[in-house]
Amino acid sequence: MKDPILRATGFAIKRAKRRKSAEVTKDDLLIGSLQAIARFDIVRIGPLTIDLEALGEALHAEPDKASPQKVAYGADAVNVFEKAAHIARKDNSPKIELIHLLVAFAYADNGLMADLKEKYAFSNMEWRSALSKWQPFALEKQGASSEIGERKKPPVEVTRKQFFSPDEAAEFLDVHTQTIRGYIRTGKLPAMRLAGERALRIQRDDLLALLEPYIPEEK
Amino acid sequence: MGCYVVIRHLPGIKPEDLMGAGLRAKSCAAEMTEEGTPIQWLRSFFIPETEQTHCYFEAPSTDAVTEINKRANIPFSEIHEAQELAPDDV
Repeated sequence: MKDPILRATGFAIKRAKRRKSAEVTKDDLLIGSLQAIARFDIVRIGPLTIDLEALGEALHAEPDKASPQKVAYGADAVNVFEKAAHIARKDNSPKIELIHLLVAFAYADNGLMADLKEKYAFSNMEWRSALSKWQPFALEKQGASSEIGERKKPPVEVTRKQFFSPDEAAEFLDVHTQTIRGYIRTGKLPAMRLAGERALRIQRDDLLALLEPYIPEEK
Repeated sequence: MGCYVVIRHLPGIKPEDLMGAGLRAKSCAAEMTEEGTPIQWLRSFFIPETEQTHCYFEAPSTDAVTEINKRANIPFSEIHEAQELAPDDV
């Protein structure tokens, strides 16, 4: 299956072509990102539900392949990529993921994102908060899920694994990825790097060692 | 299909800017390939001392490499056909 972020950029480019524009704008990028996570043209991000059909942005058929139109990323779309890259680095991610692109739109105060904020009555903070519950593992494993904000139980085979990525470790212990990354940073949780790579791996036993019995305090 | 190097002089470039540009190049490569021009971004090297970036593409022509860089909105100064040489080849 295609990388979710490439699905999003693919949809964005196709939207620009449908508009018969020579430029992919940040609005194209936003709609493309939402289409990449929509199901039946409905996007659910935590408590937010966005109907792409009501916005006139339901997924369309492919544009005419006989006359391929050349479209280039415009300056405002380039800015979104740069913001997303900055967010990815702050998130300790070795690459830009679809969530970073979506978070980058939190700061948009014009164009389609401003319209969405008004129509669906959410703020910059509420958008980021809904996205903070993102489950990339669920999205990658299950395809274009529309239920970004909902926690899903890890598949059984995950619990038998010996090595976990930070995202999988977070799923395993039912905590946020940032909690796991915080434990790694402070030395509370040992982690290893794959040789020559940025990717981190955590041993199952080290995750289990984080758990300690709960002893109620006597009154 | 040939190998091409794109030379960019990008003073003051930050690593995250390269990430964003790389993603745009990947997405445009996917689109051009779908349109019938198979093209692939292979890898890039950033040389901090000269503030230059050398990006390698596999493509059918110089025109295709020019096109992908324009679409991705990544500035460049030169494009040359390159010959790949790896330790296993000698």
